Amino acid sequence: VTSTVKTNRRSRVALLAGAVGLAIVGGIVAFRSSIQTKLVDLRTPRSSAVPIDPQIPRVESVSGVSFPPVHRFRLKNGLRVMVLEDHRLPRITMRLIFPAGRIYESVPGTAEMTAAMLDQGTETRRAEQLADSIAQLGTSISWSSNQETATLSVTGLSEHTSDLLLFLSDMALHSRFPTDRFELKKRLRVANDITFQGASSLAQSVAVRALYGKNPYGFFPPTAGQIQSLQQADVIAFYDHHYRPNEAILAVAGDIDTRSLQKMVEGDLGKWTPSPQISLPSPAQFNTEGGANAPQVDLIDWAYDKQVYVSLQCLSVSYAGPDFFPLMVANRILGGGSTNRLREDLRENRGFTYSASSDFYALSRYPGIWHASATVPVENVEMTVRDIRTQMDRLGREPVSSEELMRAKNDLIGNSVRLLENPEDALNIAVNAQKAGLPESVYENYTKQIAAVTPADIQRVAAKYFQPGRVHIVVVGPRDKLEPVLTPLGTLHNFNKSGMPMF
Amino acid sequence: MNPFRLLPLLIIFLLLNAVGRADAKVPALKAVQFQQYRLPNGLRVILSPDHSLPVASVCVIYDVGARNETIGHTGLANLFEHLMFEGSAHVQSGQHSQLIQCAGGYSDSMTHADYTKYYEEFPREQLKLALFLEADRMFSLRLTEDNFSKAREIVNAERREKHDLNAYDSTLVKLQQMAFTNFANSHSVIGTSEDLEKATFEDAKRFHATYYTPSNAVLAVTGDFDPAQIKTLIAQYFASKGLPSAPPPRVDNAEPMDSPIPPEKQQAELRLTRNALPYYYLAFRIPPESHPDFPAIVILSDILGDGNISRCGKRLVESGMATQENVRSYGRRGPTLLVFSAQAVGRDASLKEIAAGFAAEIRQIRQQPVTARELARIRNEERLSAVRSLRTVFLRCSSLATNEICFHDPNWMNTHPAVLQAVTAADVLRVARKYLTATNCVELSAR
Repeated sequence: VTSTVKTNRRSRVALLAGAVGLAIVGGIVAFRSSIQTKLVDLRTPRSSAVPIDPQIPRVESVSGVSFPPVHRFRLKNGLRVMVLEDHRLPRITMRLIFPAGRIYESVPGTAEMTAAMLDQGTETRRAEQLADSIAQLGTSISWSSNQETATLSVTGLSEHTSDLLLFLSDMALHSRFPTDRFELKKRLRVANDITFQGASSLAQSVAVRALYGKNPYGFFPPTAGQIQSLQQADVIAFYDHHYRPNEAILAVAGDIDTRSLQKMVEGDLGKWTPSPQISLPSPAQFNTEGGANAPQVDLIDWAYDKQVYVSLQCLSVSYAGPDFFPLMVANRILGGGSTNRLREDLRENRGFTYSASSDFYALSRYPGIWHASATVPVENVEMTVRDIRTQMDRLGREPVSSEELMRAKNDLIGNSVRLLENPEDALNIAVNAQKAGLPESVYENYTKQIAAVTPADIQRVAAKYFQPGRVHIVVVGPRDKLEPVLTPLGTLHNFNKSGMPMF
Repeated sequence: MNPFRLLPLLIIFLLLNAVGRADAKVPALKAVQFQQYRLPNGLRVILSPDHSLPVASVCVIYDVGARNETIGHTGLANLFEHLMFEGSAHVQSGQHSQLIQCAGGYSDSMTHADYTKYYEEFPREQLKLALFLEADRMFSLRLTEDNFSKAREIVNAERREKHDLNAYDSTLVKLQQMAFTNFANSHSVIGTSEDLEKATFEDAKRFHATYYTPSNAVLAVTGDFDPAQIKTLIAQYFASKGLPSAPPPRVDNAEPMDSPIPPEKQQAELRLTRNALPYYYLAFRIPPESHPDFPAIVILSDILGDGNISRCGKRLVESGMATQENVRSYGRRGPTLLVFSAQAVGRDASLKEIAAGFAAEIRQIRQQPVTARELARIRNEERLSAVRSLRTVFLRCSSLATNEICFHDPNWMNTHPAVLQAVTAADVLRVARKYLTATNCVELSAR
């Protein structure tokens, strides 16, 4: 859940984007250490009436960039500060990241509503004053909340750094949760709950619950009813416990000098008192393998379109394990980017769909979720599931060709070079590594690790993660037509269009 | 030294402080440097080297968009955007994006009402490849019946997957149709499926010959490259065809902006195809982005509706009357709209309160000048926005090319921020009174 106080900027009427989406794989950075990939040659011999040049220039190997250093320091109260200096433009992005996500809550909705209330008034500033003062600097502070963390985030002109930091600190240390604002926020959140939710996010939320079973990662986003019954006291208690410096991170990227930042941070956030009890839940609390051992089919009964949303979903990896980079490359080959095996099969060969792809995310210390999906007509659902399944199995069975591997790596490494254009995105990689408790070298060697992935690694992770027993089939479409098609594929579970189980 | 010589400076200093710090000198952004020239075939070229990161970007814009389409022939501009990926002399269908991607870059395109844009961003080593690919499709597009039908199918799929799923998708076009009389200003970019069905291959060939010529295009290159080398390469790839072709027909997008909108066209209701919250829209006709009033209109819309801190944001969203609101001026080459919009809280909520809320704010801003504090805020917002618009080689590349197409001035991106900073409260009051009038608006309720 993300909310930004500031809404759309005025802009040109861009009604249509093109055929190929800009897909940046989150968190990749390249190295100057010259990953000497071989040249990729996709030339097609063809005679033509209008020769410009006899041939397409060869694709050169991507050499990457040297990675900008992240300066780190830690305050006495435990707050970690990470700084990526970038002086090209007079702007700055600051993120204050708290260990205050959904996995820590005992009352559903607490984590999200606590984050949502941070800008609703502090001990010295009412909500309107706070919003007004920040807006006066031409920006806004936004909050977000997910499974693991809650984040306050702001981008502004670098000349306003000290003021923006002051407001961030005020929200982190002195939020007050006034009753009237709490009730208003709840009302708006409930109203928003019925706005259109896409088939893919609905499928994902059902998959999250199915795959994580009863562990806290399986907590569903709160329902309207849960939000409504939430008490102010729940939120205040959660804030007192989880908005503490011990495990929090301040990440700063942009036009700033680390020394002067350090002075500001010590002034504003040095007074923040740590909480003695706070600690991350231990892995023992999590049953990360979920409950399913046989193929399970989750059918969400919602005829949202003439088409049906078909997905295969399974637990993926954490940043901390050895499989993150192999799975990144494996996923790229199977269904990432704009050219991949799924697209080739379902779009080019079968002509089923315009959209066939796969993607995954990782969490700090626990597995995220991987999924492959396609939107197809009802009559093609069964074939689509089988095709995706076949492609997943093939990846575990046969080694990928060196050329296919090279293209995938080139793409992933190239994305990372461009990532440096937005220093806050590059810094995010370092933050994720930090959250996962990984050494700095993981951040520094990011692209070396992409380049090091072998065909055997890909086979290994595909065989490991795509085992039939681990994979859920999640389909969104009309139940009456789909039930006969899906029943032979595994144990069928029905859900309504709010993602609630039907019995 | 005569102390009185400092007096004028002192007065200026005091004056500046009197109207608030916003008027104090703010550090100007470093201008984006570029050079421009024209090839013998008429292609306009803009080069802007920058060596801070090893990346580069290429952008080709053709001066054709939905505005060039005529009645019964909508959707052709967008269809061509897809045809451009169907192959050229040396490139197979779909191969353009593949090549760019396995070279570590990305490519994309978009059809706008005012132009059609193609672009790539990539590691610097791949500049030659990107230029080759753009040249190949500029000069040797595979315009075949098969490709034409294929592109048409892709557009239909696109309509299904993107447009039919967005409940509010048709509202802007509906507003344009109510407010404008000229077809060039009032049809959708994706076109109607009927027009697309009856479009012939001959239509496509004619469209291509008219608009997809070097003399009707701009090529911009930004990033880490050596200008001398790139010029040679551009000459090799792009200068291959002789003389400029005849300019395409001029778009007549004139509107009777001084005549009131007929009352029967001023109100409408739209049934939403999807189960979505009701939305209220109020749109005023405003002049093109190049018009001297436009900067003040931008500031006006920011003050009225940009974020919850804005006047309408406070009145509608902060009070719990709407889930979101927006006031936005759409920058266009022709007559365009300033649109107020807000989403009701709850499916059965009335839109009357929202309408009354907007009306009250409009009355207010027509009566009283905006405050110095509001102006200071918006100036900071616009400064930050200008900084953000420079952050990638692609954004700079796209701006240079777009500004050449829309304003015949790539430097617009460097000068425009100062123009916005110079807008005064008196300017805002003047445009509010001029454009926010009862006979200049249309009102749409969608539920």
